[in-house]
Amino acid sequence: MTGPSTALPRRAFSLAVALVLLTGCALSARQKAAVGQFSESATTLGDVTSSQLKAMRDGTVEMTKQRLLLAGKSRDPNLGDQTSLDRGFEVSRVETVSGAARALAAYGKSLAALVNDSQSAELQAASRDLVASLGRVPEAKERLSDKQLEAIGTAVQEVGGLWVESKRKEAVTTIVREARPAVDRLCDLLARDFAPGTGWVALQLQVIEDPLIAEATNVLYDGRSYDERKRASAAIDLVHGNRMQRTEVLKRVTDAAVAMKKANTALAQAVESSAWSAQDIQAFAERAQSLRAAVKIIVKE
Amino acid sequence: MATTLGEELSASLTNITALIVKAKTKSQRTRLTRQQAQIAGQLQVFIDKTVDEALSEYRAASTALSAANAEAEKAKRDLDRVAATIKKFAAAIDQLAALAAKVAAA
Repeated sequence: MTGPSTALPRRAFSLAVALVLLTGCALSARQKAAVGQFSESATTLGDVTSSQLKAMRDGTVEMTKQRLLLAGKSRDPNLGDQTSLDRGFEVSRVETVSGAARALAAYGKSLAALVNDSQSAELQAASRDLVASLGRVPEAKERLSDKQLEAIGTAVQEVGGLWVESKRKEAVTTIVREARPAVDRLCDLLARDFAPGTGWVALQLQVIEDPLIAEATNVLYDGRSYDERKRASAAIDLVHGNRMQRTEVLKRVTDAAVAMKKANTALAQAVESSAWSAQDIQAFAERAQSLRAAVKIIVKE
Repeated sequence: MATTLGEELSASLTNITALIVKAKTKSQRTRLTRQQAQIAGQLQVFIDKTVDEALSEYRAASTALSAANAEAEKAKRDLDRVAATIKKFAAAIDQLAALAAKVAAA
């Protein structure tokens, strides 16, 4: 049988071994920084893409209205008219693609919440409560000094903290691994569909913009009064603003989506192994920042 | 260089729009504007077909990612529960202490 004199050191040794093992199971500061940077960029890409789709829909409605005002009935039945002002950016289309972009943003926010240490303060408060409670137990009060009670509180806090960190790493690793194919797929879809000149979003904007440019040009050249030409000028201005979105925003969404896919691979390596490079995650952060900055300049609030 | 039907129609649309702006007579513009509308209409039909296929791809990928997001939120709740468990333990000790005091007083 083991006596109390040998049992205590053994327990202490086991606890020490457990602590060392748990310490090795936590995300390093560098890994957390990588996840944090990726999360922030994913949130930016998702949120900005989603809001820009809504802006494109609003622009479509406005441009179709202008074209109808300038030229009357649509010259082709496949183009938008007074019963389909949002032709090309109908609610169901925008909602589906915007929902996918928002899912990317939500992924970024979920990862950020997971690596963000909101538990330390909670653990500290909880262990203080525990020590206070132990101090109120007469037997414990008699046998344990204040210093020993304090040591128990610190141990509970540290073990709890290490357990949290090990679970954090496990959760982040699992989620990054499981989400990887879906994130890759969404990046591919955004890169394909927003590509300037080839993606359907860019083509759709062109279908709305070019006929309006033609009708505005006709009114501008044939208009007999200042007011007529002014109406044409306002339409041209509207197209110009929307074209800026087509050329600048679409390119940046595409670049950011391509960069995100690479960063997603780097992220998976970052959380699973010690040998990884932050280069692709950094590149994604730069593209996401560029997108945000461009939207700030282009979009008139 | 244009390679797909969509890209070819897009290039035609770009070219015809440029011609409308540069046209010298009203009749030229009228004819070109009519042709432009037809090309834009054809491009719209092409886009409609493309988008129909794309939307189902978006839905599938979004559903898969939403499942991962739900898992991440659950994992976060589990992490937050550690402190709550310690607090519950402290409350249980308080109750035991109160019970012990009652027993001692009886």
